Amino acid sequence: MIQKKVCMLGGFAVGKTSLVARFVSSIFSEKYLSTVGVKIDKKVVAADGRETMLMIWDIYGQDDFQTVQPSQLRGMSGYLLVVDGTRRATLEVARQLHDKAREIAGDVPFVVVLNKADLATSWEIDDVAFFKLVEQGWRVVKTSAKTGEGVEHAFETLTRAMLNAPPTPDEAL
Amino acid sequence: MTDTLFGHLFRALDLAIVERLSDGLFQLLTPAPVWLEQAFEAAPAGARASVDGAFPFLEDVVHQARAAWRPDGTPQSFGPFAAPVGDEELLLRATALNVEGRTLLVLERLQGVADARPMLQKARERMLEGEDLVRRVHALHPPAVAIDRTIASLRAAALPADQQALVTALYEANERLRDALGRLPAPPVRQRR
Repeated sequence: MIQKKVCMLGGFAVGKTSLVARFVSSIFSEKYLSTVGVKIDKKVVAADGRETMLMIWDIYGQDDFQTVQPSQLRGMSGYLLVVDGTRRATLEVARQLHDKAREIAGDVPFVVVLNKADLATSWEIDDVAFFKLVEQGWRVVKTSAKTGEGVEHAFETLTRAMLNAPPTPDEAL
Repeated sequence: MTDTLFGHLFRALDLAIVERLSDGLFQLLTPAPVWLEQAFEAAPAGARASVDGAFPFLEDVVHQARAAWRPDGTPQSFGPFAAPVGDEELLLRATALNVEGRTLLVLERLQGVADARPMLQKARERMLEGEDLVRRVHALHPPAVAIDRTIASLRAAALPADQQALVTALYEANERLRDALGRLPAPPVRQRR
C-alpha cells in the first residue's frame, strides 16, 4: 500500500488536533488542549480507486513558544494548512508556515483548511480573502471539526493531489 | 543484585532501553515501563517486538537515527512525541545511540518539569483571552467614533450655557476614554495586514 506523510500545519488553537480526531476517530471535544510535540496517527484513505495509508503528523501550533522544526517537515508528501476562520491573524501564520514548508519539502501539494465553519457569526475571513486564496491557485476547503463538515473532503482532496503529484525525493528512493 | 538495582532504577525513571535489531524488530533490554508493556506483550526484558505499530513515531525516529547509530555517531534525541496509551496521552522522548556496536534507543516518558504541556496550555489560554480582549476593545471603536461626532455637533450648536457646560464635561470624559482606547493594542487583524 502507498504510504504518505502528511503534516498538519497552522497557528495555535486553530483546530489541527480536532480535525485529526474527527477524521481518524470521528470524535470532537469542545475542550482546547494545546499540543506539545508531535502526534502521529494513521488512516487508510481510498482515493482515485487506490488505497493510501496516511501518516498524519499533528504538529504543535506555531507561536512565540514553539517553532516548527525542519526535521518534522522532511519527507512529507503534502500538508494541510489550517486556519481558524474566526481569527484572521492565523492566516498570516499559515502563510509563514507555507513558506517554511516549501523551503524544506519543496513544491508538495497542500490544502488550505478554513476551520471552525460552525462559528459563522464570528467569522473574520471574508469572501474577498477567501477568493484571494483561490485566485492564487490554492485549494481551499471550509471545515468544521465540530460538525465534521468538509473534513473528509479536505483529506481526500490532499490525498488525490499527492497521488497525482511527482514523487518527492524521499518517495523516489 | 545489580540487575535488580538497575531494574528498579529504570522503573523509577520510567524509561526503557531497546535495541534495534537487524531484522527491524526491537529487543527490550530493561524491564518494560507500564506504558510499554502492551507494545511488548511479554513484558520481561529480552522480549522482541515491532513496536512501530504502537508508537508510529518510531518509524521516523529509526529513519533519522542512522547517523547516531553509526560507530562514530553521537547520541541524538528526538521528540517529544505525544503517544496515546490507554486513556492517557504520554509525552515521550527517544534518544538514539551506539554503544559497543549496538544500536540502542532510550525511550523515556517526560513528566514533571520536563512535560511542558500544563505551562503551554496556560500560556496559550492567556493568549486566546488576550486576543479576545483586543477584539472586544476593537468593537468599541465604531461607537466611540459615533460619540465623537455627536459631541462635536453639540459643541458646534448654540446651546444655553448650562447645556454647553454639560457638553464640555462630556467632551472631556470622552477625550479620556479615547486616550485609553488609543493606548490599547490594535486588533491583530489590522496589525498584520
